[in-house]
Amino acid sequence: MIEILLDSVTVEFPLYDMAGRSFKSHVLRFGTGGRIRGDQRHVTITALDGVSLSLFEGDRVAIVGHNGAGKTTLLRVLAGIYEPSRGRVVTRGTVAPLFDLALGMDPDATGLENIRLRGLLLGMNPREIARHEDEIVAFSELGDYIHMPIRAYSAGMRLRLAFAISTAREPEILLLDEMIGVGDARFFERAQERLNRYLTRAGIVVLASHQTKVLHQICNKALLLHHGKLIGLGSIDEVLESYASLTRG
Amino acid sequence: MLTKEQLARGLQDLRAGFADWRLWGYLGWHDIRQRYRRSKLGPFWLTASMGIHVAAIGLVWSSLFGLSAREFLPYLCAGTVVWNLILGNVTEGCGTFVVASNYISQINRPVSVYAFWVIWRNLLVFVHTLAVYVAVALIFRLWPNLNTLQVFIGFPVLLLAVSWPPLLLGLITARFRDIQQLVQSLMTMVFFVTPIIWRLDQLHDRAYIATLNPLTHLIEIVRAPLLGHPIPGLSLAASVATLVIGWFVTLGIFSRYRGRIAYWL
Repeated sequence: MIEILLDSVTVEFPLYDMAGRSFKSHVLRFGTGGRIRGDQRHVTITALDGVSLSLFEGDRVAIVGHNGAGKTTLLRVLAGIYEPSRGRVVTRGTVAPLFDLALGMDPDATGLENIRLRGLLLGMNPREIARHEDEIVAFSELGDYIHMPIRAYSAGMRLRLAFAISTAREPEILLLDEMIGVGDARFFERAQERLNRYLTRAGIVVLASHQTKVLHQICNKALLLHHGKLIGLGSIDEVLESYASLTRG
Repeated sequence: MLTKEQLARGLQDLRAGFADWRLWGYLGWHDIRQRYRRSKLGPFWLTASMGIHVAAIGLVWSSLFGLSAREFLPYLCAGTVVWNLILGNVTEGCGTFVVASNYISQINRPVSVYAFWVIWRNLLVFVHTLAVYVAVALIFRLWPNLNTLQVFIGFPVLLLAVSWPPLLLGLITARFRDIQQLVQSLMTMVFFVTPIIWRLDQLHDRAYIATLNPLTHLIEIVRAPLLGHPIPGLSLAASVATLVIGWFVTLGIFSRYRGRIAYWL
């Protein structure tokens, strides 16, 4: 069974950099939707405030909200990166946070070494990596470049490799912060196809994005965050509508 | 305060982190290869620079102390090799989580993986530098005897005793960034008050300065058997104490604050 349960999850960030406190808190108040609380000595930002929700197999969930509403923080809580300050998180299923496709890739290492490095970071074992290796090389269309250090690659080649490795294995729970960008026009179609397959096979997909068109294409559910609070959860059309009215004020 | 649940999750993190040996094993190797990529000697630069260091210090110091090279060089070399293992785990250990902050905020692996990474990398460096000791022992015809076997007691104790600093110091540094600078300057000082480039018996009636220093004993439990001497009981006891007390404190603090690391970075 694949599911995610959040029970009144609150996440508070400590701010330790006291020297610039007053200036910083001003900037943060205008720049973000998070709320800043605290006295002179102990400043915290409440990034998520009592969020409860349950997601089940088949859910394709869009997270919407203004900058700083807590979208990335929520994704990181779902990924198990942040342990909530209060509340409980239960996740059943293997979680793949795909926030930075190129994380852990080393410019001085060859393409093949990077497949191994990135594969291990994604939680694959060497046998799985070996099984996917040929397919990754083929899909990224790197040919003999795969034996060269990736600093010799163009930006597009690097992206192709990172994309091919990151989507090699199909996870049960897939977390995305903004949709994966897929490079040049020629590569675009194949990548799009693979991405669609990848998205359909995952048990649960959670995607934070501002691109409503993409969200409509992929998601069947949505949740709306505002100042760290969950103020809307339901069908994608409903929630995007209330987000739009929130934006209009 | 530390709850039972936190302790259980701290231990679980350590278990799962250790079981992830393929990841930290690869990252550790990768670091070493990476550091010496495109150089002719490769990782053997580690061996070469240790050799140069020991030869230079050894020749000067043995004349200063009026000791023969045969007496002094193996002692110096064994001590320096072990000291480097301790130094690496302590100073690089401060950066365990700060250096891995990118990984910690992007992927969900047990955080102890990053400590095992530091320990493993330093162990690999140790193996490369140990080759210098073997060469020195061969040059001076220092053959192994029965006491040498005690290294199989001394080394595991040493390794376990230097395995907690990457967790504990890494955690404290993630929260208080000054710790790394403090530890680095302390270790520079500690090097001179630890019998590595001098011998304990040269302190005469001030030997207690070194005897009170736990690093003296950690070095001795490996150096003594390497040189063919038995491990002194006091050194073994002091090292086991360092191991047990260190891990006890580390387990408590790590389990209590493990979940905060991602917030501190």
